[in-house]
Amino acid sequence: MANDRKIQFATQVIAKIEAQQAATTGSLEEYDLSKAAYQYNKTHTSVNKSLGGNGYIDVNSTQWGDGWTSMSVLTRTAWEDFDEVWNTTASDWDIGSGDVAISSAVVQLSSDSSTMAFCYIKNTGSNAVKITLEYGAGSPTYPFKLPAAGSIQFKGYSTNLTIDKIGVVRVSSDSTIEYVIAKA
Amino acid sequence: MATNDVTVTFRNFCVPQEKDSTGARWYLDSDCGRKLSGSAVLTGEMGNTVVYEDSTSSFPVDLETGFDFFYLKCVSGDDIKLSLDGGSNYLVSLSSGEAFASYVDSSAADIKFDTTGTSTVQYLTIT
Repeated sequence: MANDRKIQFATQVIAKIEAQQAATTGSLEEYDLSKAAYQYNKTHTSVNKSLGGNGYIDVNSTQWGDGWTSMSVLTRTAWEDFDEVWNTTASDWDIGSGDVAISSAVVQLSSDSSTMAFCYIKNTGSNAVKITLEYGAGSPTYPFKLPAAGSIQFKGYSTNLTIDKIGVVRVSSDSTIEYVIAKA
Repeated sequence: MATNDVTVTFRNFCVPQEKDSTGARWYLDSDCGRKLSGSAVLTGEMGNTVVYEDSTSSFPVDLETGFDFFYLKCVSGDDIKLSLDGGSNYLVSLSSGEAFASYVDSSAADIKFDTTGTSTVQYLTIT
């Protein structure tokens, strides 16, 4: 059990718009100054700045289980858990990176029903995934999408969101994620 | 890309931390072991309609559906609560200074947010 735990977090957003730099003409005695027109990205004129924020949250020092981070959910990290024959392909001996496979079946990040304090999910694969906060509902909606390499993080409001409600599924092709999901 | 096409870069960064047994210092959480971050650029997945509000203090704000990207920051004041089903359930919270951003499903995310007291927020939608 940890003495105490907290999570610092930050979000940044930059909206840009494609613009065109007009061609320039002119010359000096020894040089041609002309340039062809070209496209470039600039900060969106409706925003005109980088957006973002940061904060931290105290989370329970005793988490709901080892699976509160995908990095510690590796089931073969204890010697006594190894059940692989020594002379077979060593799939279980490589403890991996903590990535969780995402396919066409929805993956519930945890069945623990504690109040959720903080969740971070990153798409570590090559294909988009989508996220529900209503796992187990009759017809859950998937309001969030994560493109490859993208991430999302959020704090739960009051006691309204529990850990067992978070689910992830692929959009069209398989992918992988890493996550942190902490109880209050 | 054509002139006026919109792109958005969004990144999240989090650092789980654990206090040592003496209570003297914070370290990277030993269950996680590293800092976490993810960054993506959305290009061509969205339309070009950008709505940005730099300072809003009138609540609730009901954006409904139809967005491809959503950003919200609680600039100051009391916590903000965010609903993704039109206000039936508020599931996400933002305290002063914190921000939330996500690529969203334009038909599934029915966005509404409200204050728990008195707040000022900043938000961005791209359709």
